[in-house]
Amino acid sequence: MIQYKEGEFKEFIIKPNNSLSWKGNKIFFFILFFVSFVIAFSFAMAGMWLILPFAGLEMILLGSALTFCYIKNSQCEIVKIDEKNVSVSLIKSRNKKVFGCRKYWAKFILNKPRLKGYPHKLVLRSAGREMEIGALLTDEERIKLAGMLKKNVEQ
Amino acid sequence: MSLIKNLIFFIASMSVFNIAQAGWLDLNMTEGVTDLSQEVFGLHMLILWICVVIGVIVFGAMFWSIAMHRKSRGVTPATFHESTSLEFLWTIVPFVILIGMAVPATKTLIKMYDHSDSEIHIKITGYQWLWQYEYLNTNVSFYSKLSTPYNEIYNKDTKNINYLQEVDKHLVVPVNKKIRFLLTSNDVLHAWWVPDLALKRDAIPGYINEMSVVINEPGIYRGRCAELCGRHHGFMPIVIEAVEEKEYEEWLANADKVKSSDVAKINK
Amino acid sequence: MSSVVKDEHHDEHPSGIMRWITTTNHKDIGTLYLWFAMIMFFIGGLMALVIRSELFQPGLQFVDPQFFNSMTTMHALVMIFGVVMPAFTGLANWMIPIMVGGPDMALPRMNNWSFWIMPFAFSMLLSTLFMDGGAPAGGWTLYPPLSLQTGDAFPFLIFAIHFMGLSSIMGAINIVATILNMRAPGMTLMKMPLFVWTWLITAFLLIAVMPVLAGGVTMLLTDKFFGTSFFNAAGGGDPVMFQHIFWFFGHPEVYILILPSFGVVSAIIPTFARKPLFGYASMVYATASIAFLSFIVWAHHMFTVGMPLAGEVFFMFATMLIAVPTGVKVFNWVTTMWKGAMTFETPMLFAIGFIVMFTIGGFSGLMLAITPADFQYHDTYFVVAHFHYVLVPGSIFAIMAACYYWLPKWTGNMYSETLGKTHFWLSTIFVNLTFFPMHFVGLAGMPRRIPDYSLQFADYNMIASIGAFGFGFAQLIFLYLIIKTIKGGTKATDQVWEGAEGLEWTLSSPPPYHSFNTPPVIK
Repeated sequence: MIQYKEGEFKEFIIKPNNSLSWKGNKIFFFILFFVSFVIAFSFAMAGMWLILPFAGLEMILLGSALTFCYIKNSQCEIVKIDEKNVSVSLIKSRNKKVFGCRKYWAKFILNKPRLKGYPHKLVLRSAGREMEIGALLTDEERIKLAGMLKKNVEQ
Repeated sequence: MSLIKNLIFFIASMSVFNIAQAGWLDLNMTEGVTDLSQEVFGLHMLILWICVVIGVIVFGAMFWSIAMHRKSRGVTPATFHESTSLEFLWTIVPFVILIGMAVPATKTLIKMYDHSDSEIHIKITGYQWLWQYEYLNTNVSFYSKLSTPYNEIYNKDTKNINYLQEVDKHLVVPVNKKIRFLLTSNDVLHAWWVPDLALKRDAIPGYINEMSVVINEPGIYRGRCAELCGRHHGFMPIVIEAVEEKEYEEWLANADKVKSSDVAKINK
Repeated sequence: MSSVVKDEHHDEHPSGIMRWITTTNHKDIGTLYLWFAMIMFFIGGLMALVIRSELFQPGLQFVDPQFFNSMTTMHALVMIFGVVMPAFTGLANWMIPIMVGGPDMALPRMNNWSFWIMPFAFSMLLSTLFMDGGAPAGGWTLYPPLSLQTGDAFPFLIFAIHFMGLSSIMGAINIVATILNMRAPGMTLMKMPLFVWTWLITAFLLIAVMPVLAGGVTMLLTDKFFGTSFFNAAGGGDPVMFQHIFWFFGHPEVYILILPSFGVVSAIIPTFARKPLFGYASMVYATASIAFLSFIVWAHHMFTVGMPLAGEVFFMFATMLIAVPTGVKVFNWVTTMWKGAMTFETPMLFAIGFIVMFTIGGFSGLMLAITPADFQYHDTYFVVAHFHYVLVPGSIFAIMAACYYWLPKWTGNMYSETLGKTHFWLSTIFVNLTFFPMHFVGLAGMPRRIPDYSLQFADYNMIASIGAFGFGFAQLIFLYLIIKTIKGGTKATDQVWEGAEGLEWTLSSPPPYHSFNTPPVIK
């Protein structure tokens, strides 16, 4: 998913596709939570309480799996292009890595895959340094992004 | 060598056996000898025929389609993929058919759960691996276990016709009287099952299950333990002998006497 | 089952055995699952052949009754937890990310763990065969008090079940997370292939009921070793409660074993009929209602425990209701075939075989739902015939259909159609020879799980045993065919099947090692 903003500088926010919102994930989790606990509590009422801890552990596992998956999918890259500079910030949960260079030297290169079916690879290259951009995207989006970025740097 | 010989003999005897005995009756559920077992048989046949009819229609349509709508006949595929009315129809029609099956089944079930007016009460206890029968309100109580000799089981003797379905002491009951069985177990789960009486219930430690029966015809009926109960699960048959009431009274008095003298002997 | 091309694009990955142990790639893990299922299929099959050898003739010939009981118990555990479930999880691993247009499974690391738990769990389970007191012999249902009579094997059995449960839960959570979060843009829920839908519902069921099994078997363990009395009547416990627990897990479990097959068949029939699936939406709703009903029918496995009349009636009605959505599915498949332009390659043959024989199993299921008649059927070979009809020519045939259907995609090579068809016809003939006579002996009064029987059951048991050996040997063709296809063969096109639709067919055959990422076009 690419979000494009234009103000003092041009900003591209690049995120992987998250096909279910956080709210959707929560709703799904609570449906399962509800079902599991109705079952586990009913058995506990009948004296079979040992099902309860297992249901609890499983819900912890499910909850953390969904959360982990959501966090993984909400990492993003922000490409900022202003008059002189190009900067790329990599945001992974709380970590932020910034990579910057002169616009003049910046070059966006879209490498074609060697075999059919493999993804394209988009890199920012500047003075011998190289960084991959848009690994989170689908191929279609990456090609589109490459086009947009190239146009902006060339101006 | 003996194995091969046995095998040849077995195949030969099997074909004779087939001609002599095999028939529709061997393939189907027994009709049994009680009103309820006949009702159960009726239900079984009703459902079977309903399934057969549905099967003929569905498979008929399918095989017609397989025969006619094949690419090698040069047909072009249709494109339809929905029909609300059709889908509605084949949800409702099975539902109606199901109700048609459920109603008689429920009626029979209610009759099976009616244990009132029983005249004879027998407590059955399952053990690994035999049955105990106690005639309540009398002194009669005995164990009944497999009487097939080991040599037959281990293929040293020819197996007799009642192989694995004969016991040392029959459970004797009168015909035309309502008998109530109380069923429990002393160790693991068992299930007491006599197909001719359409009776099957689990024997569960700590539980007393009930079932009742009126047998219409005198005869010897054979059944088996039907719930896995360990090593000799396959070796705890049930033989129940239904006799005329007078005969039953005599048998009971006799058994009571024997039992009392046993008790007297022990007390000496 | 894959010969994946060397990845030249992304990071290096380890080769040899370490590649398989450390892999987080969904295709590798799918392959591992499928091979694991294949190995277990032959182990479980050998156990079945021990059973059928002993039952070939009346009398005890080969094995001790206790060992016979171990065989029935282990055969069931291996086939259910070691074959059908891993095979479907393997198919899900391979196909679901591709089908929804995602790059990989949502949680690749967990995916690796959930597979590698399985070999440990099954080594533990199979090692019980060599223990003092023998392998578990109380039936796969583990009913106490009998299961508590198990010897040294008991704790191993319980922990093996715990591990299998853990593995399936992790697998299910992963699949759920993948389906929910990894879909390509435009892949809305109601555009997903039915295989994905059926797996979503299956995973839901797994997550809902696995804790029940885990709790149940743990209570067995504490009853045996820690002096609790959950199920011990003498200590104030309730042995029937275990059956409620077990079947509360067990009934959804049987749908866990069959729902993904519905998905597979719903993919294959339209492909070879060259016609879109009839009633996609009603298929989804039918699957969901089957899943819902599976929670309220468990006690139909327990009609003879002596429930109150109202309970018996309720469970009879609820059980009969399942026939409605299941019927809808069968009607939809038949209507999909109607007026299509069919060809009959091996996957289609298996799918048609599935429909016919699964329906036969469904009919006997309907008969079993009728409580008064169930008193006669319960715990007889009629039940054995019923569940083998829905599991062998049901689930197993669907798995085989799926293997034939996607094998060219996985390996890039076409399999031998002649061998495939031979495999199908032999399997179909022998599976019926094995299981159809079981209806008759069951109705005639033969209980299940007995090592020896009275003479009136001899004929059909002999036929069933012959069928079982035939079926077993026919599966060697399958093994040979798969190995042959992996090694080489005519190159498959990307489309593979003329009528196939779905994202997996837009990828190359075999698909690239890493991620999807050809632009998915979702109509």
